[in-house]
This record gives sequence, C-alpha cells and structure tokens, in this order.
Amino acid sequence: MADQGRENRATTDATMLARIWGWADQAVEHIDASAIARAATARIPLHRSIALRVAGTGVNAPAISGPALRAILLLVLLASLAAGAVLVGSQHRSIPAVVGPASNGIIAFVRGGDIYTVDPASGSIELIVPGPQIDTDPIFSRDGTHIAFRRLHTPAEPTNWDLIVVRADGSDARVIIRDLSGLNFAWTPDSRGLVADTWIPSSHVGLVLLDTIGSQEPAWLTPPMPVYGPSPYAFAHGGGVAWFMRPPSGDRLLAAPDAYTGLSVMDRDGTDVIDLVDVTGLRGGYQSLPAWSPSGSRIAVTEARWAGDKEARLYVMDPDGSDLRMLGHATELGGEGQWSPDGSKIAVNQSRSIEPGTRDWCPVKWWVDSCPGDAWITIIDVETGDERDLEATFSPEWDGVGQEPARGGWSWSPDGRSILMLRELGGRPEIIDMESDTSTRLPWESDSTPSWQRIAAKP
Amino acid sequence: MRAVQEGAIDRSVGDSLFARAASGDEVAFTRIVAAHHNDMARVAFVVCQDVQLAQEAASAAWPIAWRKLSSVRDPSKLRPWLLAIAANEARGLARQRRRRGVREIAVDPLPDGIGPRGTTDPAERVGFIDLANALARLDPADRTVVGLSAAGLSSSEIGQAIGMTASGVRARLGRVMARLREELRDG
Repeated sequence: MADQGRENRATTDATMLARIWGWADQAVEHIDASAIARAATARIPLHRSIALRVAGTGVNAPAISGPALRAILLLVLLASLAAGAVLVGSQHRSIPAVVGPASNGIIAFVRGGDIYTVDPASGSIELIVPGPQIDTDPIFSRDGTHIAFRRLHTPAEPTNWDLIVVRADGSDARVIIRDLSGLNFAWTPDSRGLVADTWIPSSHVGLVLLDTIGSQEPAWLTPPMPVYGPSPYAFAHGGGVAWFMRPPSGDRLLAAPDAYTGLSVMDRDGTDVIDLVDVTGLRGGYQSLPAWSPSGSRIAVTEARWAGDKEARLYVMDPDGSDLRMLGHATELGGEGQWSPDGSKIAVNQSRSIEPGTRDWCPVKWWVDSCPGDAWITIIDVETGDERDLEATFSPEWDGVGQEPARGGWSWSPDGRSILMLRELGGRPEIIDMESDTSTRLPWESDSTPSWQRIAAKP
Repeated sequence: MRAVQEGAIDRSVGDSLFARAASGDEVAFTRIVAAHHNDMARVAFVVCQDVQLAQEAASAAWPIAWRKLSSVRDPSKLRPWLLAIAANEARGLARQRRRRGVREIAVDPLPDGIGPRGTTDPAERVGFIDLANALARLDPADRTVVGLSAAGLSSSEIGQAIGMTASGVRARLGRVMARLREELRDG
C-alpha cells in the first residue's frame, strides 16, 4: 500500500515536472544562439564587439576595436547627455573626506512615484520631488548633500530609466544621464560621482562612471575593470555606495570578471594589479558583494555554493590579500554583508531551512512536514568573530520572501546604532535598535529602499 | 519537448566537440551554445519567471562558460554545469530587480493575449497560470531545484552543480513537490 502510494506520487511528480518544463518551453522564445556565441568568444573585450544602444537615439555603435571605439562611445554618451540633459549649472564644492560614523539626518523614501524626506526624530515629512513621472530609489550621497534617484520612462519600460540628482531639499534637479538599461547605481565614496551599470544587448553589463560635480564626460570603468556578467560587485544597499571603490577617494577598485573568478585590486586606470586570494577556489563556489571597509583598510567578500545547507562563508582580508580570515561560522548566509560605519562589525543576512518534522519557527498555518525556514540579520565583530543575531529582524520564509529578511532592503544607520530595514516594497520601514534589539515601525510606507542621510561631524 | 531529447543532443555532440571548444575553438563553442542555450533559458525562466530576465541570464552565462569551460573535466557534466550557471545568474538578476523599486504585481506568465504557442485553450491557459502562481510562492532556491529537475538532471547532478548532497536534493525536491501538489490541488 505504501509502495503504491509512493509510486503514485512519483508518477504525479514526473507529470508535474513535465508540465513545468512544457510551460517554460512555451514561454521562452527559441532564439538564434549564434550571436550569443560570437559575443561570448570575442577576443577583444565584449562591449567592443556588441552594439551599444545609447540614450534613446536608436544609435547602434558599430563594432570596431581599439582606442577609436572608446572615443566614439564617450562621444555618443556625451551627445546623448547634451541632447537630453537639463543642466541648471555645474557646481563646484569641496567634498570632505567622509568616513566612519556620522550623525543621523533625514530619510529619503518614495511613495506613489514621488520622493519624500522625513525627519525620523520629529516625524515631519516633506514632498521634495513631486510630479507625474515615476521616480524611485532615492539615495543620499555620502556627504549627505545630494540625492540621486531613478526616473522611469514608462511603467511598460521598468528597465529603461534616467539618473537624476537633486539637493537634499529637492532643488536644483539635474539629469546626469538618460536611458540607462541596467539595474543598479550608487554614489562613489567621495560623493563626487555616480556609478551605474547598463546592459549591452545580448551581452552583459558595463559599468559607467558619471560626474555629478563638474562636466567630466561619462567614462567606462569596464575596462579597465574586467567586462563581466551580472555583477559580483557591491551594488547592494549599505548606504548606496559603490563599495568596490576604495573609500574615501575611490582610487582602488575591487574587480573580477564574474562571480566565479578570483578578485583583484587595481587602480582606476587598470594599473598596479594585485590578485587577492581566490575564495571561489577554496570550495568551487561563487563570490558575491566584495566590499571595502568604510576606511578602506580591509576587504570583505562572501563565498557561497548556493544559499542552502550551511554552505556560505564570509571572509575579510587586508588590501593586499594577506591576513585572510573567515568570520563567524559557515552558515546559510544570504550573501549580503554590510560594514558598520566604524568598520568594526559586519551585518550579514542569514537564513535557515527547517527540516521536515520540526516545529521550530514554523508558523502555525504551515504544513509541519514542509515548513521551509526563516531569515534574519547577524552582527559579526570583525576582530573577535563574535556573532549576535538580531531577533527583531527575524522574518519567516513561508510567504515566499526568500532567504533574506528584508526584500525591500536594509542598511546601517549613519551613527551605526541601528538598522533601517524595509521587509517588503510598499510596506512600512522599521528601525531596529542594536542595543535593545527592538523594532520601531515607522508611520509611513515606502515603495523602494529608503536612504538615510549622513551628517558628518565638522572638522 | 522533454529534456531527455535535448540531452540526446549533448551525447551526440561528443567529447571531441567539447575538447575543441574547451581549447578555444569558436565554431565548436557555437555548436555547444546552440545545443544548450534554450534549455538554459528555460531553467532560468523557472527560477526567475520572467522571459526577458531568463534570456539575459542565459546570455550572461556564456561568457562565463567560455572562460571556464576548460575547468569542466568530464564532458558529461557540461549540461548540468551550464544549467546551474544559468540558474544562478537568473537568481542574481531576479534579486537585483526586486531591489530596484519594481513592485511585483500579478502578471499573466504568458505574452499578452496570446495562449501557449499553438494553443488557445482557456483551460490550459488557466492551468499554466495556476502553475506559475504556485511556483512563484516557492523561494528561489526551491525553484532552482525544480527547474534543474524538470530539465532532466538527476539528484546527483543537481547536487554537484549547486553544492548539495544528492540526498539533500531529493529531500528538498520531495518537500517542494509535496507543496506544489497541495497548492495545485487546492487551487
């Protein structure tokens, strides 16, 4: 009887898997793979051999090689900037070296396509970027003076957008670049520029460096950084800074062609390359989110073989790759580690799969024999390796959130005393106090990851 | 089309083609791309449930494969290896998209107004929607195991590709399939 039941289930499962495969076959259009193969095997860097769709002009850059192509790409980007930009005037300001903890300022968030700021102390909310456009992902510069955000073209084109910078009060709006098609952007550590990724059709991603202060032309970071696939770089939250650029000036870059190849450090012009310990070679895993510490004195990287079954590890090392140490214990890390503002700790996603038959952390409504697990944030002391789970960040996985406690993102507060997290886009953010391990839910909702302004101490 | 038919292509390609591609023969590599890309896109689609992202994930896997092909010692492991890379890229892309202010809304997994290729049966269309919704409620790791299993990989192959034991894969897959059975029966 039991054997018959197992046989029936096996047949049902096989049928279901066949349905899933058939559904995927129906949905995915069969394409000509020749162009993909040509792109993958191009002997020159891939972005030189693939047409680059630029700035809505319909211009396809011809496939040429050498320095001439780089000049043409820069000219095309500049032309699109001139054609579409609304320059209200360039600015020249001195940028303090902002490293370490700062004071907590206001928080920027988006609701209904408009950008707001809120004083978390008083609760006072200001609408700073209104209008019919759909704006999202506001990120404060590290010096707290400006906000960068994405402006989507239309709801039907969520992956095509413009990058805009305003002052912290919403004034002086400037379009930095139009029609980027990537998914990520972040401020440079010195608050002078922005880094964004942009898809090259049928190829992969290029990183472009954009000046927000003067009038320098957009410049590709890849090369000299290796051209790569979906980024292993630190475009995660953590304050919206491109953590693959060494603070405070961004002079040294963490670089890898993909998540499966060892990490290197190099100057911005590609010189002075130092190959770091290849953590992917330790167990044949992949690396994610390599990040400089806020002072630029250390590097952290996560190595994982899929997020499951306690196979992810967090490493720190010196800038030359020496003193490699694993922090904490190998566990089901979600892969997102963020340095505290003072560089003494790393907060990291963790998750746990619950084995069948247990009731531990299994919500009452769920099936006892199939409760999948939960996720939370752990704080790890960099020097001692001591770990502390933040109970207030616990989030059950059973509703399909996945192996992270906050799908809407999270980050350290500027003063390093709390975590700002958004469990779900459109939900109400929470401030998790480190000392008391308690959560305060804020009285407003945010459609994207909120950003906390840093107010640096005056020298 | 069952994955086993695609697997037959893999066997017929043969060790010599793999060896040539691994040594830098672009023509041989192109044949490998042609043989495997669509399956990679299918697996990526099961993982991320977005057609565009699935194609981008599968496309993004090939430069990696080109660089790392020589590290695959056993040609019979090529297909699981490629599918796993595509699944991993799909997870990464889906994760990045979730973080970029795009609130997920319920969408029909099929192109607007169009039924499955060659079919306009409303009942079949509803079935696909139920299946898509049930898969959407799984976490990405579970969808990865399901996608690779639907592609015809054994538990051992899946385990080697994603860093789990074969028994761990079986246990996880059994749990996930039980959940899918329950949801589709209730739905």
